[in-house]
Amino acid sequence: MPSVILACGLQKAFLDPKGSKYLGERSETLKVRLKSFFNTPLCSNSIIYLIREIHEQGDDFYQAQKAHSLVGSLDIEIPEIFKPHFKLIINSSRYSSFHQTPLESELHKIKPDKVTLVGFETHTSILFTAEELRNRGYNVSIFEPLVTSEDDYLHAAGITLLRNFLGVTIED
Amino acid sequence: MGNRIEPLFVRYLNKEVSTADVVKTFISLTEDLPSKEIAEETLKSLPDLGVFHKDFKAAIGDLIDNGVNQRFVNYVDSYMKPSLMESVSEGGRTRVNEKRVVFIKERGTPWIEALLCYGVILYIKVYGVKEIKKCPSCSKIFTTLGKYAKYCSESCKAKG
Repeated sequence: MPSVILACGLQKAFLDPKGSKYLGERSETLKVRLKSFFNTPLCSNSIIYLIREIHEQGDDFYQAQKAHSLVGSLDIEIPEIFKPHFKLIINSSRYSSFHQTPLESELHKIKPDKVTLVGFETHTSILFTAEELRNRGYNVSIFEPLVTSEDDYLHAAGITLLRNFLGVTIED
Repeated sequence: MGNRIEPLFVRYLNKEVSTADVVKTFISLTEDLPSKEIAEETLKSLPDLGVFHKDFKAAIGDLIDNGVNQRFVNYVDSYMKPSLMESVSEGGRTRVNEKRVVFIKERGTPWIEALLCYGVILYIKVYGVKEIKKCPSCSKIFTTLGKYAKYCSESCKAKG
């Protein structure tokens, strides 16, 4: 059974200095690490999906947050360096990558032995997608250096919940 | 509904046609040889689309309840963009003679799902989203074309 890698939020919102959710040094560090990661044997033997956030203007769900990844904006574009690695780009409008997306159907076809999550952000898309994966009985792992959040506290909180409450394997 | 045949995506949603039937329909209609080849290969080893059927029905339910929204666009785009390529030849100043052809982009893509999503998009483009309905009596999806306001058949209308 193949492994699956879900790359969350690898889009200009987080990775481009003009992106609405650009995290400065955190984004640049993750970009360099992910570039190397996608060239490892683990990735060449896995199926990689990009989970891209696309939101509509005025989506009530994100009222408390800065608007980002709006339809038609630079935020939803994917940096060229990452494009060749993805089997499929799954557009998502919520933190959980399962919410009205093809992800469940795709995983059902592949039946992966393990799902690895990388990308943005530890306390949002990574956490809520991991929860949904665990609910469905998948083995989930996360490389801590390959996920990040807007601040250290939220990242640490996300990692704690993933490790201690969801049974996600956290690797260094 | 008389003798009118529902669109393929509607018949798929109502389980009146199978995944194999969708692939066979595409094979019989496509003029693009590479696409035909991919479809014939797929027919020999059909993917399990059980989960897709459930998700697709939920997405169409959302469409019926809330109209075209970003969730729905995200859903269909995720399937269609990597899988299909559309060529449109214009028929002059109106869309009367417009010809639309779809090609499968490459093997291994979820092109069957994409084809069904494409069917929905074409239907909306031509007839509008309000023509896709869910029967309150039997939960069947149907397209009205103005014939029935609410129910999918006379018998469901009688039951109420």
